[in-house]
Amino acid sequence: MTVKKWWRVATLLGVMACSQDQPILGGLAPDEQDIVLQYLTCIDCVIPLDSVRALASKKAQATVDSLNSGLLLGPGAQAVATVDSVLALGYMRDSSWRVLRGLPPLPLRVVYVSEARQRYVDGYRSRGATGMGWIHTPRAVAHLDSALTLTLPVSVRRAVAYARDSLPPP
Amino acid sequence: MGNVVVSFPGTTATNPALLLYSGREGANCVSYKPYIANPTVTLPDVSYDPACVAEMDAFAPLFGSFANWVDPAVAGSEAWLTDAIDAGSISIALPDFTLVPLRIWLVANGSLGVTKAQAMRDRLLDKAFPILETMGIGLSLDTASTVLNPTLLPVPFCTNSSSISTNSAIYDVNRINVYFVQNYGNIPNLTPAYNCWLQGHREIIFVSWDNANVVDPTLAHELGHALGLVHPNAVGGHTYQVAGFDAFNLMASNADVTNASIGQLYAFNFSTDSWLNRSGSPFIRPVVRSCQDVWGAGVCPALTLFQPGWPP
Repeated sequence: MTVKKWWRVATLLGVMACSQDQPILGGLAPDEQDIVLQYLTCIDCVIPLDSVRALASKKAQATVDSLNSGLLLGPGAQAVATVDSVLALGYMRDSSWRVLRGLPPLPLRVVYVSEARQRYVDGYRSRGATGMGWIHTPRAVAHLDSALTLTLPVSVRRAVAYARDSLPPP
Repeated sequence: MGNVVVSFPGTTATNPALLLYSGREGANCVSYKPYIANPTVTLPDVSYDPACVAEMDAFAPLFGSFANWVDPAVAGSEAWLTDAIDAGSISIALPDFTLVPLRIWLVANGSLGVTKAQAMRDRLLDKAFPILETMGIGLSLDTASTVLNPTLLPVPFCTNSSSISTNSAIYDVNRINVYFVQNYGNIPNLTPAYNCWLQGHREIIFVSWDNANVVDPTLAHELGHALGLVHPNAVGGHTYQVAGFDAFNLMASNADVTNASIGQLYAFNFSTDSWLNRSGSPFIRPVVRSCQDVWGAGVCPALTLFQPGWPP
């Protein structure tokens, strides 16, 4: 095998690995997948949640399954690796700024990045649960029931239980 | 016509200034053309032409922002430009940061709730300050915190922002009001945060302190809405999957922020939509423009305008 061919194979395998790394969003068109992903990564979530609920009114099963993938799988290793590198850049910037301002240092980088990564991942997974709670079809409830049998981070478990038992609000 | 060398006293090679030039350059009118100082900027073949909008804007990390323009309605307002052309140089002294006043309301009962609200406030401020001060935005924060009993605040929904804004016990008319509430809408996990710009109250922000997963740039992002980043209207200035922006732009949604566009910096400071430029504001800028409601160029620089290598 030539070096060129080797690179082609390696690249293809890399693309396949990345593809497998993404949440399962079967049954949704690309623009509909974007609606779900925008919700799963939101900061201002009210309008993205409305959009997900509107999508569920047309494609309930696929929307719920996509949210469940978000809950179970999180954003995927590739996305998390990218976030890690950006968090490291932010850590350097913020640390330099703190030196300039005479402020106490941030926690060690490994601790800082780990905590921020956990918030990102757990927030993503929690929104998967919350979205299903608002849709609350029998399939969504079944997914939430099933998730509660798993070992989950505390905040995610709390979101799943609330989504199953208390959403949508009366 | 001639070259004009622009200098920026006090800036450094590691934190150079960025100049936006609008006006006549050679045979053409140029609009918001970006230059990174090294350590000065040389504008080529500059002349004064009333047919070209003439403006200079400058930004640099760790400094406030600068703007000056030629107002065709004011006789003699072109003097600063014609003087620069005659001299072949101009010095732009960037001001200190503009301190954006925040009233932080820690809406909580009992020491545990207040402690959690304070911890969230501190974590988000620890991210907002360096984002604002090091990315050339020209702004910093002047914060004042008040503990507020939750029973005094209506249900923390943006639909209640009008009633909140008329009660001086729970609203500071001279500051952007940031309410750290247990949960937005009293509904766990509904949203990490929300700015009430859609209800006409961009100066009201809610952050959910009981949501352990609020990401660090959340306050900086919401302040972006307060300070003019609400356009294009269809998506409220959010840049998620908008062509020209990556996932780590200030107005995208992610774990950290690595960039704000030049168009966004301009809007922060010089847009009519920025809270700084509201009617009666003591912060109104020397240049204030009604920015276009599209991502591309118009009255203001394109929101998608970036210059490689800047901010440094």
